[in-house]
Amino acid sequence: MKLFNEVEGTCTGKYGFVIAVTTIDSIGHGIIQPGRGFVIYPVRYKAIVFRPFKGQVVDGVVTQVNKVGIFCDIGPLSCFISRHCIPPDMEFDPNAEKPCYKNSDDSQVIRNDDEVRVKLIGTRVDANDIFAIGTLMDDFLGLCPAE
Amino acid sequence: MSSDESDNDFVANDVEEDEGSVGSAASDDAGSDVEDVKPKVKKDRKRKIASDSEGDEEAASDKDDEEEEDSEDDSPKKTTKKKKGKRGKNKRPRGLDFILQDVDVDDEELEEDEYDEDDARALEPNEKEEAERYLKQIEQDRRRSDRDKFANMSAEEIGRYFENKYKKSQNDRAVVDDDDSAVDEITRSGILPSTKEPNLWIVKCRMGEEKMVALLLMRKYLAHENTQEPLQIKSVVVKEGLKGMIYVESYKQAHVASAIEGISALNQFNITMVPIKDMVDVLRVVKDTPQLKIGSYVRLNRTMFKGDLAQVDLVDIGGNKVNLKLIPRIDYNRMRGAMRTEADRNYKLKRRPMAKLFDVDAIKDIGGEVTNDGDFVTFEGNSYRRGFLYKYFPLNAILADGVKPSLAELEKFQEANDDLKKELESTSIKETENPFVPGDMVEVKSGELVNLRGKVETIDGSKVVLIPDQEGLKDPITLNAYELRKYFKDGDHVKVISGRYEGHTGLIVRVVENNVIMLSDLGMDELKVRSRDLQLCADVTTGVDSLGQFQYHDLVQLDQAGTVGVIVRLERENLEVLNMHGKIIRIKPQAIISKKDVRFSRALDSQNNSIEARDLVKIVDGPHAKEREREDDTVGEVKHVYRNFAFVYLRKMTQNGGMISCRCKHLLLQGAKKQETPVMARMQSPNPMASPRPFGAATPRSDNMSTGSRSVGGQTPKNNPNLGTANNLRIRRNNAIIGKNIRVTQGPFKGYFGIVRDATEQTARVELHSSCKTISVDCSRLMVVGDAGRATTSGAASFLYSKTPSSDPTKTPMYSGSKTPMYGSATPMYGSQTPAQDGSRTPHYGSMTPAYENSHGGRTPAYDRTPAFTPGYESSSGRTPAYDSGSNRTPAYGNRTPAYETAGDRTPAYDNHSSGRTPAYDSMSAGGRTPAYENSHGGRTPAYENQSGRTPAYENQSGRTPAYENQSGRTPAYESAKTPAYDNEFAPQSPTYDGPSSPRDSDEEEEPERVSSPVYDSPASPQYVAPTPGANLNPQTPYSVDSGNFNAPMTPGNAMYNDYAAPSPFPSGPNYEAGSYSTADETIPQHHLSQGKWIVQNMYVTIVDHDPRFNDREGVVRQVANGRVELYVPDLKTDLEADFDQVVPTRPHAHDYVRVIYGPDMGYTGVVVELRGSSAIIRSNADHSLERNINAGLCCRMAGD
Repeated sequence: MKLFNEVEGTCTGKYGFVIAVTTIDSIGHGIIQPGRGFVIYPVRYKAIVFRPFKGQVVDGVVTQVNKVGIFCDIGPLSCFISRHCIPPDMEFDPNAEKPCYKNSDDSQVIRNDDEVRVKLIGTRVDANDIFAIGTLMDDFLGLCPAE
Repeated sequence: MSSDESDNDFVANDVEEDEGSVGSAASDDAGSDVEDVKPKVKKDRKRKIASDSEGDEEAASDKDDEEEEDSEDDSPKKTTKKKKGKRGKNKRPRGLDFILQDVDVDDEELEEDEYDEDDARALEPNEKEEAERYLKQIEQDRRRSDRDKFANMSAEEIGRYFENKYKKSQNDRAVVDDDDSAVDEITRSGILPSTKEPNLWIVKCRMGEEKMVALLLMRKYLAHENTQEPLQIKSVVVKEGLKGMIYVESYKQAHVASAIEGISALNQFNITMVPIKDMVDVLRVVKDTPQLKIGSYVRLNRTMFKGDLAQVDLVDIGGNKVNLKLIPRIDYNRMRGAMRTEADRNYKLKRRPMAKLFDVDAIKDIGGEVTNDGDFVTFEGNSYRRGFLYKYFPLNAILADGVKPSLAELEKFQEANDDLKKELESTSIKETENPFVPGDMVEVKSGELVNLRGKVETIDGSKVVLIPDQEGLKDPITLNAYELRKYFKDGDHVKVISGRYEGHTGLIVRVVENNVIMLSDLGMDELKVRSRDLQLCADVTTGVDSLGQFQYHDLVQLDQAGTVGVIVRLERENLEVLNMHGKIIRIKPQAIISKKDVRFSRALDSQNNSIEARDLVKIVDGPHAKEREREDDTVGEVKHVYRNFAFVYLRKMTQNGGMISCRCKHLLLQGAKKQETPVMARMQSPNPMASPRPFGAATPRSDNMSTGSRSVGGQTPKNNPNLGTANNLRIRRNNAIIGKNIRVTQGPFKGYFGIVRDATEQTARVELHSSCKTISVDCSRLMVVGDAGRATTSGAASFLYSKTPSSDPTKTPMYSGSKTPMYGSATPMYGSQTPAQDGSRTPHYGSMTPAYENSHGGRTPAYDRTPAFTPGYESSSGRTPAYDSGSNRTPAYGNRTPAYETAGDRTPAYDNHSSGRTPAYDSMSAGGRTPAYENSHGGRTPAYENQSGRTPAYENQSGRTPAYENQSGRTPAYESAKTPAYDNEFAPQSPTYDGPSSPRDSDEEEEPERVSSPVYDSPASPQYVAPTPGANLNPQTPYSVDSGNFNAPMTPGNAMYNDYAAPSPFPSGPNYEAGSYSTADETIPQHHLSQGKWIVQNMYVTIVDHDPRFNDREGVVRQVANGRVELYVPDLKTDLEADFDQVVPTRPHAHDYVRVIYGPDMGYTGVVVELRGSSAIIRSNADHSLERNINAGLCCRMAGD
């Protein structure tokens, strides 16, 4: 049932992002659409979903760094880390080759494509999208050492 | 009256204090306020004990009462007690109860100490109830007995009673002297004054002597106490701050009168009673007397400044006044000082003067004297500084509560706007109303429970009942609203309910003290908001998206000079507008001149693609372009186009809600353009720039697609058909329709008949027959009546077909007239058809050819064109070999020019087109070039002119007409795959052509290439001629037929036609549909091809317009990079680089691997299973069971793997 591929990659507010459909439990009786030749089947299926929650700690990839904060992608979820949620010792440096946040002794530099560990402090769930804001102000959050 | 040494003032103060503590006790102690609904176990227990002891006490005191009735020795201690008693009386008319209560409380307090440690919950619920009931009963009894008891007592007796009573508990009192009384509501309402109690009488008093009088009365009372006639008053109250009156408590007015007799400071004739219900209020002590802080805002409620906003400059609590800074109201009309006249003296101010900053010069002008006093200036006794008046006002003249200065008022108070912001944040304005609603999370900000968090359960006036959010604290607590503040956590989703950002929603990023930083849902901007302005909220409002008539992202005109901007933020009183120069402007909605509607405006991007609203664009230049190579491209959506500015919305931008303003030249259209709507749209497009593209795009490619290389020649012609309409870019009058009777077929005027008074390509001014009205109607919505009811759609095609110019020479002008050279051309052709056969004319044509050669090296004009005009053409830049060959033939052409001239018949047609440009034709004489060309040099056939002014074909100054190509014998047209459908259809129509068609055949023989293309076979092509502008050219070709030189190639005519046909703009155009061409081969818009997005690795492409040795060769795409393609040419075994416009897709054959490069199936890859006409059945690579039927014109061959 490749139709299920249609579901994958979508996002619903209730269940979050549908990553993959694992099993199809049942397919009910189809109902022919009046006036059209299409049939709608009720289908139960199990899927792996990604539903971010407040307080969850996740890893993300930084996609954008600017003076208001950092944007990062956590899989399909985009997350914003406000400047206010970045430890105050990390300063925005717009003059670096890549704009980045770094602390005074340069021991931590967050720039594009870096991996960061973020704690989600809020999510905004729309009908078909989820947006999150995160913080780095906690223990063990921040740049993930490259593996 | 008790013989207390303390004055009444003291009494009052004392009361105040007491009351205050009552208040706080009440609030600290929710149990007492909740009443018996939710009794507090702990309290109950306490109270039970308390009442027990109370009972004992009462019993004791009763006894004492009798024992000590006569003893009058007033020890100092006793008097204190007495005073206490009086105090109670003052406070509550039924003070006796209260005193009792007071005592109780004291006891209670003691008890409380003992029981504090206990776990209150240890009690059984019913025990609680029992206790409650018991308590109530006792209280009732006690009250009743009290009343009875005291009813018959004299003041002395009462006094004594209390003395005794208090003597006992003296020690206790020492501890708890100023403790609060936990009077609960029941008790309180119980002690409210009733009719049986003495009344309060107001006695007017000389100002300032209130306290003195009170003391005097007290002494008098004491003096008379033991005489025959003791004073019958109960108490005297002086209220602090209340000048000119005192209160006297007594049963009868006469008692008061007698008591105050002889005191001159009191007016004994003016004694009024305080109504019972107001008695409480008289002595109510307002706890929150305005706590004026320096810098806070107040309003005046008296004087001429009534209602004005003032800022506190200094507070003098003792003097009961504040120094306020406010905007003076000075009457600048009244003359002062020396300049004062008699009239001024009698001048009465009728209205209060305007509030205006103090203006020294103006004052001097009216003769006022201004003196300097430090940094103040003084005028008429008032001090001014920096325009503001600084003046003392009595506290009661100001209103400090609930002052909500409007922004405008505040602005006046601020010298600089920056100050204002700071001010606004720090301003603490006392709210009268309660900012909380049930469900709010709140935090206690003062008192013992500071930092306790809870959820608001109910609101009662200024009281808030909250459920603490704390382990072990489960019971609701009542607190005053002012002790609370809203509490939010990071990540909460909130809505701003008041203030600048009212209506915004967002996620809280951070909470700092009273401020909250939130990330707006609307844009990616952060807002700083006071927490009291926030409310938890689940739904995402679209934010403040509209304010009156303005909406977020609206385009508005800012001034008369034509500055426009986009609204990037809506606030309560202001809009933030990003103007086209990239600046943010804050303005009031009223300042906006108008909203701009530019939905349909278009502009050209850096590559001359037309862009309009909703297009996706890449920013390639200018301040917003990516600064570094590595950065991602900035891609955004065009929201508005205004002149050469575009407002682009970038998702990733955080400033200004992602909106930027940039020049269109800094943009590049991204991806494929939305499919144009049918012809109509095209025709209608007002933007001249816009139209070329579609045409160009649509046509040329198709050729390429079909056969590959040759297409070139053919392209011009193709365009022509479109040009008919396209050229009209410049608005011209549509003479064809003027004066016609029409019917409106669509829109609000549907069904109306009228006569066309004036018309352009797009719209017609129609005078309606029915109502005396002239309306503008889109031409597409008109139908000419009395003329076979044909829709007037400007679409050339339909017309053409229906009325071939040939058949109806007279009409041709119309067609061509305004628009299409084609038409014009058509006529000649038809006319010419004969010519073709007509040997005599050929010479003319011959003559022309040389011209061509001269002008160009044999390029089709189309090629010459600047990319700007027709992107499509660019690609075709290649030269057709035909040209070369053409050169050979030139001689043949050589002589024809004359022919043209002679051709009187045709000229009319031309004239129409050229509308005065015919001269060009005349010019033919020049150097043997066909006048037409020369014109073209000048560049234009009339038809073309419409557009950019140059017909693609003509433009080529090079002067090569497609015709040439024809001559060369290889018209791309031929090559170009014509769909059989066309052939069929056309065939019947053009018998004339048949003749020419045969020549073609001959051509084919000569040129294998042609042979290969099935197209040739079809005789139909000639028909195309008619529609195609190319046709115009064609007329010339006919001669070629005649000319022996050309030999077989004579076909030129046909060939030309073919060429034109090949481009088959028609197929792509909606016209075709109208003409039932629907089966036509689909084509890919030129712009799509030239953008190169379709090119992928391993794709077979045909090289065009490159080095001659590569032209028409096939290459395999190795790599696509930087706007260029790296190719491998198998034939030559070389690598090659080419621009996007130098390659065209290779049309697939059966069993080829293909990729769909345009249309809805774009990206689909598979193997051609079968090729049927123009449609290919393609089996998907990914899923072999999937086969799709896709137009071969949209596919490109791929290298098999």
